[in-house]
Amino acid sequence: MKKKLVLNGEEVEINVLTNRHGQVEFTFNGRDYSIKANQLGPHKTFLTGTLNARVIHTDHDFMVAGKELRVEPPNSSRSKNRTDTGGHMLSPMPGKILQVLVKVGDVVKKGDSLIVMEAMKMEHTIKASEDGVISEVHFGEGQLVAGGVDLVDLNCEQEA
Amino acid sequence: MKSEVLKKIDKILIANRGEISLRVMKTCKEMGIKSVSLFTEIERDYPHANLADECISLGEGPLSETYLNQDRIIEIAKKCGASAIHPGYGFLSENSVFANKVTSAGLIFIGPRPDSMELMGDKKTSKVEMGKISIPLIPGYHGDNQEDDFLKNEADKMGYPVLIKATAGGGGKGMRAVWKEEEFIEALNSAKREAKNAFGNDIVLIEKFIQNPRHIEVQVMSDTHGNHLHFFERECSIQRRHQKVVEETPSIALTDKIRNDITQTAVNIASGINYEGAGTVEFIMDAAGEFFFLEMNTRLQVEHPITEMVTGCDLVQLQILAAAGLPLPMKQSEIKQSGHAIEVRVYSEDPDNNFMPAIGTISHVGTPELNNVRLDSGYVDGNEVTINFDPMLAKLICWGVDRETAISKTLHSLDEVPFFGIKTNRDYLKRIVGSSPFREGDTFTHFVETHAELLKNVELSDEQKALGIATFLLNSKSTKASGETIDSSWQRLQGFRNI
Repeated sequence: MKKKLVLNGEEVEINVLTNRHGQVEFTFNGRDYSIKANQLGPHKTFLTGTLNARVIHTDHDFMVAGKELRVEPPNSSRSKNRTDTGGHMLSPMPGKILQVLVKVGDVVKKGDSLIVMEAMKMEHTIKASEDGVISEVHFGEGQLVAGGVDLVDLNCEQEA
Repeated sequence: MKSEVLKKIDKILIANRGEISLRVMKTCKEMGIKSVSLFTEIERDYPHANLADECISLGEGPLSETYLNQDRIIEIAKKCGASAIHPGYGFLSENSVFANKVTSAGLIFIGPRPDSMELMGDKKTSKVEMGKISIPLIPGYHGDNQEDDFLKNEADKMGYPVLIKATAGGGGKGMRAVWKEEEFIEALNSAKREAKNAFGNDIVLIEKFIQNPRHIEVQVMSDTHGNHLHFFERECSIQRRHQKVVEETPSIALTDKIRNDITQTAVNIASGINYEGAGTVEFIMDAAGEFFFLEMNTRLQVEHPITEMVTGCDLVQLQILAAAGLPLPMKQSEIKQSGHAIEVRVYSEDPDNNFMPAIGTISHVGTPELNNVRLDSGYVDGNEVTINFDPMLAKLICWGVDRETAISKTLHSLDEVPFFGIKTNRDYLKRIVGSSPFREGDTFTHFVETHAELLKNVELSDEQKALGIATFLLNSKSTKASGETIDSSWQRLQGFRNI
């Protein structure tokens, strides 16, 4: 059975042949895998078979062979691609605006610093995600902002 | 010894939070001393708010009304019958006004005398004082004579390379490294021009330029009977934005001779200022092994556990003994370094996105399982990480018979503490400790900037992805080809979803 999954935000397609009694067989990227689970505790399992690894896990978060992975079914709310903000630079978390480095009409390049904010006693710089022209600056220096709010808008379709 | 301590100190109020509150609590329990912890309302579910003999709420509000509210903390200590206050690190730990208030209230402050804190708290005066007792300082000229030839003569005396720095400077403006005598005047003029333009002031200072320096510090402990002991060095060269990230002891850069000199220098400082309690003398060391005094921290350090791992001494216990006025229960010759210990600091931040701080709920911390591995964590499963406090979640401390073993145990143990639910620097720490320059001991204070490329995240391999997919499938209700829903075997097990 073909199945789509979202792995660390990236969609992958697999073909599941069987999945029962702690044994799963599937095809991924042209290779067949047959893997068995030996559970050792509420958060700990050993995988054996095609690949062997120690896994620490909760429902969606797995530590597999030393790498953190989040695997979810597609369309789950948390698997939305959050990097595409359509020219809106969002505050990553609640904090205070320390410096606004751009004004409306400024031409910026991808990676240019736009705003410096402070959160958790540390400074963070909000950078332009694309080349473009600043179309809106929503906050001034010294203002407190919540997490996930629009700080600066960038018009990316500017013709030279 | 125990009853002697208890006569003086039978109950300690810990004026701190998180992992260091728990750390002090642990020693209190071992010594049969009652502990009192403080917490704020949003920390009610945190371990430090639950595990002391008495846990007292500071309510809500900014730090100035909670952990930094000196009078309130002293009042609580008196009310609950504490005989001493342990300030931990940060917060009020190096505040001489607080230490004075504690003593005036008839309580014992577990830390140095206020005058030592004041002396060492000022970077400038402390250096002047250290110069008086012949402690090596970074050679430099900080005076008023700004004539070209005079400054060049000063630079020639120190030996090249030297650093020219604008006294009003910042952000690298008006700063020049000069490698050869004949380049000095040109660099001086250029630095002065830049400083004049940037700050309207072209006064400069000249300092010897230390290339690829290592940060080496020495743990000292003094009692009130004039005993000043050292507990060897720690190397803390791996830093990011002046925040220590990885610490280790012993430092492989120290020969027996340098170790002897640097530890003796630290002891001379402690005895020179008649110090009491735990302190750390920080030095900067160049490639030739020449070291210079930077500053002294008059408190217990975050990275103290690695010293405990290699010496077998409980530094908090020694702090308490010294504060009770008892002599330290060992001689210098009895303190030995055995094996190698590494500490890595787990921060809630995203190294792959400009080290942006991360917040969220920790669904699962994990437990390190190898021998001689310590996880000093302020958080347990289900705790929320907020923006209100320091982003350091935990310290993982691994001891091994030698450095190579300590490195491999650190890499292994980091995989056992996923801190699920929140972005952390866990994988980044593995990249540092597992990198070949770190393994070779080629460490210096600009390590992470210099090796930024090497420390970048690597893409997951197909096999790693396949293991993730397998885990997900095995862990979820799935459907057979016929469409019939079947339970995975994992779900028969109780306690799987315990978040």
